[in-house]
Parts: sequence; C-alpha cells; structure tokens
Amino acid sequence: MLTFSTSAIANWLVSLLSSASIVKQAEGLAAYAIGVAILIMAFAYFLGWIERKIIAKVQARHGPTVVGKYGLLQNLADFMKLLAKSNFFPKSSDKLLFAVALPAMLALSIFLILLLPLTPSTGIGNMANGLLIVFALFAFMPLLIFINGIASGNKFGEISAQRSVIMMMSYEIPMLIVIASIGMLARSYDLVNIVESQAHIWYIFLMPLGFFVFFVAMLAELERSPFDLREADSELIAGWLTDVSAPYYTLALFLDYTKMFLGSLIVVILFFGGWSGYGLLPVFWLVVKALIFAIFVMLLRATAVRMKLDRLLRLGWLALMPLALINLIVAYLLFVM
Amino acid sequence: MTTKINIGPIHPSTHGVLRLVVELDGDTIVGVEPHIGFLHRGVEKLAENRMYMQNIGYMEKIDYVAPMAYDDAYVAAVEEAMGVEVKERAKYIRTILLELQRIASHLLWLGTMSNDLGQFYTLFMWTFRDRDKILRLLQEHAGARMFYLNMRPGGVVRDLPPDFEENTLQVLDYIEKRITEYEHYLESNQVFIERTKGIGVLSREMAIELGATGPVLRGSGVNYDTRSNKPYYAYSELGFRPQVMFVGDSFARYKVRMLEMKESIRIIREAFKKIPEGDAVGMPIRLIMPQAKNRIVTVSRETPRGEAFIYMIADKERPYRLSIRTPSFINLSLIDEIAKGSRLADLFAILGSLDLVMADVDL
Amino acid sequence: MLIKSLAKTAKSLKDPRFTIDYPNEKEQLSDNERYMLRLDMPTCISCAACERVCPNKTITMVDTPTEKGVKKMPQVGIERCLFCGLCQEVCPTKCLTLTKGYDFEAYDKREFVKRPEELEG
Repeated sequence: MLTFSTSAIANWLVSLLSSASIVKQAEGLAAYAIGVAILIMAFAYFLGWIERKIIAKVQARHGPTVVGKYGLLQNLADFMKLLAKSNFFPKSSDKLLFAVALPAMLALSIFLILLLPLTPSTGIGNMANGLLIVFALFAFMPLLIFINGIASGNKFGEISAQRSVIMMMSYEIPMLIVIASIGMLARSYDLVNIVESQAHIWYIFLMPLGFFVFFVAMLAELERSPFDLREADSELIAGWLTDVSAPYYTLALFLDYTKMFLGSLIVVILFFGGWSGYGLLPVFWLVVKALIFAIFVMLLRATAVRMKLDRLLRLGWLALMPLALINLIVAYLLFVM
Repeated sequence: MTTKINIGPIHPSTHGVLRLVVELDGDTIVGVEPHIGFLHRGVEKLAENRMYMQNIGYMEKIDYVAPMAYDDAYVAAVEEAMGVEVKERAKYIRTILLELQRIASHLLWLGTMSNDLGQFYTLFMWTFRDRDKILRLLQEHAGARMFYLNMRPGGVVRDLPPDFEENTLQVLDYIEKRITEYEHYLESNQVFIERTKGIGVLSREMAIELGATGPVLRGSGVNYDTRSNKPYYAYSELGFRPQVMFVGDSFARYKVRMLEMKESIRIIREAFKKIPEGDAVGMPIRLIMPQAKNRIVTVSRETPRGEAFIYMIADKERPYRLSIRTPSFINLSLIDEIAKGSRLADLFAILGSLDLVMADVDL
Repeated sequence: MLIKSLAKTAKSLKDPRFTIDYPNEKEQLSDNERYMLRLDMPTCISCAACERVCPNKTITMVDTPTEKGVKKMPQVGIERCLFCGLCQEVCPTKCLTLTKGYDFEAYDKREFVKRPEELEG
C-alpha cells in the first residue's frame, strides 16, 4: 500500500513538485497516521488500567472498582480532573521550553510507534534504514527530559536533569552495540526484514546475552523500576516533574504508558519474532507478545528496590558494555563466518 | 562550595513532619540539622491538670504505632505512686500483650523502610496484612484496634477471651513463616544489600557517648536492654535474651529488629505455657481513686523504639509534674553523626533504619 | 539477582485479596467495642459522673424534657470524643454505653453534637 525506499522518496518528492495527486497521497498518509495514533493512545490507556489492576492484585488489594465496570474509566476520570485545573509556570522557569518539552515528548513517542511496522504490509517504516532511524529519534527522549528539568528552575529539577544526561550516556552505547549485532545477524537494517528473518528461530534464542543487555538498557531508558532515579518519588519529591502543573502532568502520566508500549513493541520486534505466529492476524500476535512483555515489566516494578546512581553507572560501563561487546563478537563468530 | 537543601516538613519519606536542612557538597552530605516541633501537643502540661486515670487517653497518643507501651509505662508509674502490686496472672498477660505489640510495631517499620528504599509499596501492603491479624487479636480483648486503654492499676481491664490462646498460636505460626519469607525476599536482592551494608555506621563508643537507645544501640554492639538489665513483669522467668549485632550499619539495625521479632514469638509461646490461673482484673475506674502515697516515682520500660523513662512527682490526686523521656528524640539527634560523609540518597535509608515516629520526638 | 523475588511476586498473584470492598462488605466486630455512644434515658439519674470524669470536657449536662419533668442529661460532642470509655466505666446505673456502630457521617459539623434524645438506641 504505502511502501517507501530511498529512491522512492526521491521519486515522490519529484512527483510532489509536478503533479496534482499531492493532495490524495498526503490525505492517505494523514488518515493512516491519525487512525493508528488514536488506536495507539487507546492501547496505552488500556495498559494503564492493566498496570493498576495487576499491581493491586500482587499487593492483595482491589484496584479501581467504582468508576466504570471493573474500574476501566478510572484513568479517564483522573485525566479529566487534572486537565480541568489551572495552569501556571513558576517565575524562575523558562516558559517557552517548559511549555514545549512535554507535548514534544508525547508527539515523539507516538510518531515512533507509527514508524514501526505493525503488520507485514502496512507501516510507514518500510525504509531500508528503519532500525537506525528509530533509534536515532529514540535518543531524543532523555534530551527532552533534560530540557524540561533545566527549564523548571528549581534545585530538584536540575539534579534530576543532570542524572538523566548521565544515564543516557551510560545506557545508549550498549544498546547501540546490540542493535549493530542484530543488524549483522539479519543482514539488513530494514525492520520488516528483521522480523521475517526470525521466521525459523527467534533472536532471543540466538543471542540471550544481547537480550539481557538490551532489556536492562531499555528499562533504564523507560524510567521503570529499578531505574526510576529520575523521578525518585521518595527522595527528590518528583524530580523533573516537581514544578509541572496539572494539565502537563496529565501528559507525563500518559507518556509513561506510551513509552512502555513503545519499548515493548521494539523488544518484541527485535527479539521475539514480531508478528510471526499461526492462525490469527499478525497484528494480534504482535500486540499479545507486547502485552506479555509489558506485564513482566510491571511485575518487576512491584518487586525491585531502587538503585543508587553510582551503582547504576557501574552497571552501565563495567557490566553492560563488555557484555554487549562479547555478544557482538560471539554472534559474528557463530553466525556470520 | 556547599549548598543547603531544605527537605521540608511535608515529604513522603520523613515519617511525619520533620524538617531537615541538609548541607551538601556535590552529592556528599556535610551536615544535617533537624528542626522539630511541628507535632508538639503539650502532653506533659495537660497531664498536670487531670487526675491520674483521666490521663491514660493522652499517654497512648504519644506513640501511635505501639500505643500499649506508653499506656503500660504510665499505669506502672501510677501503681508505684499508689503502692499497688500487680497480680501474678496479670504480669503474664501484660507480657504477652506487650510482645504482641512489639511484633506489630516492627512489622510496620519493615513496610515503611522498604518503601523508603524505593520498593513500590508491595512489602508495605504485605506487612500491613500481617499486622492486621495481630490487631484483630488485640481487638477481641481490649475493644479497639489502636488505642487500647486496657491497663488498670493492679492488672488489666478484663481477662483474656476464652479462645485467645488458640487464635494467638495460629497467628504466630503464620507470622513466623512470613518473617522468614520477607528476610529471603530482601536479602536475596543484591541492590538492598548494597544500599544498607556499610551505610550509616555508628561506632560503639559514639553510640554510648551520644546516648543511643533501643535497636540502634544493640546494632552497634552494646548489650543493653531494659528487659534484661532492669527486669519487670515476667521477662526474667521466661528467659529473655537481648539480640545484638556488632557492625553498626543500617543492615545491622535491620537484622536486630528481625531477630527481635523472632525472640518475641518465642517468649509469647513460653508465656502461654507458664501462665498461672487466677484473677487478673485491676482496679475499676471510679471518681474517687486511692490517693498517692509516694512522692517521686520513676519507671523504665522498653518500647519498640528504645527505652522510655517516666519521672513523676505525685500529688494526692493528680501528677504535679510528669516528665517523659522518649527514645525517638535521642535517636534523631544522632543523625548528624551518622550521616556525615554519605550521599543524599543514603539519608533516607538511614532515617528508615532509625525507626522514628515524629509524635514520639515532639511529645 | 532478582529471580527469587520475582518468583515470589508472581506467586502472590494467586493470593486472595485482603481489603474489604466497603460499603458493600462490612467488618465483623466483637461485643466490647468502643464506638458510638448510647444513652438509656429512663435509667439515667443525672449524677453527672460522666461529665466529671471525661478528660476532654466533651460531655455537658443539658436540660431535657422527659415524662417526669425536665431533667439534666448528658450531651456529647462526637468530634471531641476520644472514645476512651471512661464514662461508661464510671456510670453507676450503666445507662451510658459504647456500642459497636461505627457508621456516623454527616454533611454539617453541627450535627455531631448529639443531644440526649439522639443518643437513644
């Protein structure tokens, strides 16, 4: 339907400048993007409900039960309450950056999910360098957290912003090395090719070490326990979110689940075979595997104790990076040569 | 260049209203200054205008986590002022109830400490579920879950209900299993070990010199426990042994409290075997109670937080002066010595291991 | 590192819930509970012992019309009450008792000052 490659982009731009079918193509693209974005937001909302109910069951209590049947509308009620409150920026903050950072993060996460291939034939992301483009844009997230923290103008925000930059430096590098080894195994950077070359055996069985490194690094990027230093809520009150007023806090809460959905989709596409499975629709398998992975991450949040910053850095530099390099070398020796 | 951070009275981790002004050099703590007094209610002054038995309602609210400990300390002071002896069976009953209260208080401490370290309320909800079983036992006897008011001069307000022993032994079996599970849960987690071992070391000499008390003192290697050094009720007959660890860091203080819980379970089981028959009901409350004979009275008791000491000058019908030395006040003043040289993230682990209750500090 | 703890968390998914879904289910209490006060008006002899023993000065004696004329009976301010039970223990005819009803809500703070007629039953 909508398949692009680099030469096709060039052709498209030429045709854009010279024909009258611009409007139709742009309309098709926009309709696809808006439709899938609404579905993604609905699914992220559903993930929020699942998290509250599962953590409540682990802790031997009911979760939300009153609003809507089984508490399904509870998150919606929370968001509506928060959006109705008044908005103000602190006097010592940088108003423009503060107002722009959170909506930019939400837009970036949804855009990244749109780039991922959700079924074999649709997806904007049938580009030859899909993997590299996704991760290049993914690296903007900690930067936007840093901008929000610095622009908030109080000490807790600044400390938290510094921590975000340090964590980004330590954990992006092992993640990129693991991605390089995946590209090496699949012999291309195209996301559809990566999924289809896992048709016989999933990459988690070929490179378990790489999966471990990638999983830990992805937890650190998503700010989930045990790495939720950036908004350590019994130490720095709320870190970079301390001075954020209510309507923007809605975006931050929604962003948590959207980023978790994004992370689960990436891990499933790269390591668990994407949409391969028997019988039912491919997109169904993708979503079910992402859901199982997300539930595992939620159970980890209920269990883990928060790590300190120096242990985090030691884990990144002294444990994850050598493991990623060893993984690269072993994968090369076993599967490429 | 040092900066000062204000960890204000309203904070999720300071167990109440406590203001800490922390002086930081980068990420290292150079000095901590606590400001207290946000929860001061004037209990000592109020006590001067009320008769002896009208005061027990106020004494319990000093420590809202383990109220029976102060209830018992005050009624023991009144007994000594009036010259009344505690009945034999009542001594054993008071021992059993106080040790149950100690287990409940340590379970709450375990939940809040793991909450401070970053664990997302899971262990907190589990320990509260176990504490609730103990509170239900005490509710059958005393009539309320938290503010018991069940001590009277000479005994307790009413005897134990008929199925108390059977229910208690069942609950104790269940709690013993759960305590072992919680120990494995926390100690198999490498991150917890790294966040508590070697953090907040209090040496033996400084502990004695600065006046630490309770599990903080026993975690630094000093073998002092009011229940064995100045014994009261039935502790000496039941063979009580204080639990001591020798390193003095947060892990040692955590371990001392876990071992104390196990020792309490053992003492309750022993007490049920040796309890004598007889009458345990103390004096009922009337408008005219016996007048006080002794003028100056002192009582020492071991609350779950440390040693509480009551000094009372007794008039005929009401106390002339009531002075209470609470353990959390002394333990809070150690924070400057313990926290120097650690990081900001360790401050909350240290505060969690000291087990403070702010109503106990401000009295 | 976290495997044992994670296994324990996953196993606790099948434990029963411990919290009660109030107000659909309510707690069962024993009989010597100390909650809402109850006054048996025909038995009260107006001795004011409850007023004298209350630590908080919550109970005041007010004029109440009964069949035998106007007598003084206790009025309790529920907001200030400690529920300590000293008034129950001191009462010579055992007409003032504390029962196990713990549901008392009101929209207005002034409804919490219970006159003797409201303390009946």
